[in-house]
Amino acid sequence: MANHGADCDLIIDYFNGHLSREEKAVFEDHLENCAECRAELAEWNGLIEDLPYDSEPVTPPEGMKERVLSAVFAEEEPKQHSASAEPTLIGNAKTNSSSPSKRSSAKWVLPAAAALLLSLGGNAFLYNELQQQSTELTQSQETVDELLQYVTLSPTGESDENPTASASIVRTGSQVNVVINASSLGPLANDEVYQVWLIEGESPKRAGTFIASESGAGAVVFTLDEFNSEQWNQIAISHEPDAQSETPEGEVILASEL
Amino acid sequence: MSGPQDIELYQQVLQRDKNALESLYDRYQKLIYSFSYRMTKDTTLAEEVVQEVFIKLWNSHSSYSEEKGKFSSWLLTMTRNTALDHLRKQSSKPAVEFEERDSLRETAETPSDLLEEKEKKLLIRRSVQKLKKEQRHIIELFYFQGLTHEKISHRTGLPLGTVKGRIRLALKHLKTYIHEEGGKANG
Repeated sequence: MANHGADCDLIIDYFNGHLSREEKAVFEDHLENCAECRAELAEWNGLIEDLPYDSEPVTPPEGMKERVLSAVFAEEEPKQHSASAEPTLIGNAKTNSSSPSKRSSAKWVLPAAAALLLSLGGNAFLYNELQQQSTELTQSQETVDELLQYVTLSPTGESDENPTASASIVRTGSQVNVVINASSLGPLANDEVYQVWLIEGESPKRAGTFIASESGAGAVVFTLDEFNSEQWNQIAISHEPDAQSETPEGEVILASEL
Repeated sequence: MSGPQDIELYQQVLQRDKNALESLYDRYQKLIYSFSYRMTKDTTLAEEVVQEVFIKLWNSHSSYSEEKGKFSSWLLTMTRNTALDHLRKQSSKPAVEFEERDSLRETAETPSDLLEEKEKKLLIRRSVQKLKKEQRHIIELFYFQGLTHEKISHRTGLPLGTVKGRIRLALKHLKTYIHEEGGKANG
């Protein structure tokens, strides 16, 4: 942080969003009295007319449009099951609403998910199906892989990271897979992991463990012997000290009712 | 530009018209993705930025009006801010110097490239190329990487008190070149 005199020097960090709330307030007060900074800032904001066009044109990755649009429109899918039970494990878990003003919690981090599915010997068909079904979840019951339930998990705390995740419960033949896609996860230290839990009554059951990529994305596929939608009332993701926790020991960061 | 104007599409988006959002997506995906990639140098991160921008657009987290200037500029500002947010989250990672020559390169033109946008790109790129290397470098660090004042100083070896002046100078030259190149193109 530059701090060697005049408030004018804060302008670079202000423009690039590096100031703390207090520093930002100081600079904004300063702006009201400094015509030079106002002019400079206006000029810098005006660069958006030109400089982005200096970017080398890059072809977006295959399937990006489908992924992005399904994530965008997934926002307004109605919740598929009315909550049948009060959250028990996570007192402050917020039920995900489909309010359009709510920040996205349905992000498809599909490159990571695809790699994971493939690496697990899972099937790419499932991956494609998921993309296609994500905007018409409740209707798609007649495919080879059947989507039983899709929920978006809401952050339970006020972390800076603002993590998001979605959970798809998919019947593949005689098995049921829980597919989690998460993004904007915070960094992990040492043996720390993210752990998915399915909660029955007050008993959490481990349902997949994963770590986040450098960009904060994570995904996991977990196979259940059977899935009865009445059985589970909540799905949650916690930040665990290691991959051994039998019950949540760390902070629950995301949760949704089922 | 053919088809509906951006503002018309945006107004339809406010009415929850998915086709209008898709049209805006088709129109801007490449520009926004290229800009996000330029800033983040990471294909996954760039895609996340694009996704977040369109989620914000769909959910009207920030609203556009014509007084705010061109729609494309507003969308690009949102893109830059979103990319900066992602970069800040990543800031613990060691920075890798971006060499444009090493970047993913796309030479094939797609029919959806708007003529106006192509001309603009050409104009801007020519102008940026006319800058001295150190001027391009400081714009890269300041604008595309969105580094802190201190990091720019560290990376360029310039004293803190000199950084802003150098940014100003580089941008002044850029403006002159854009003006000259624009004059050539129009004359």
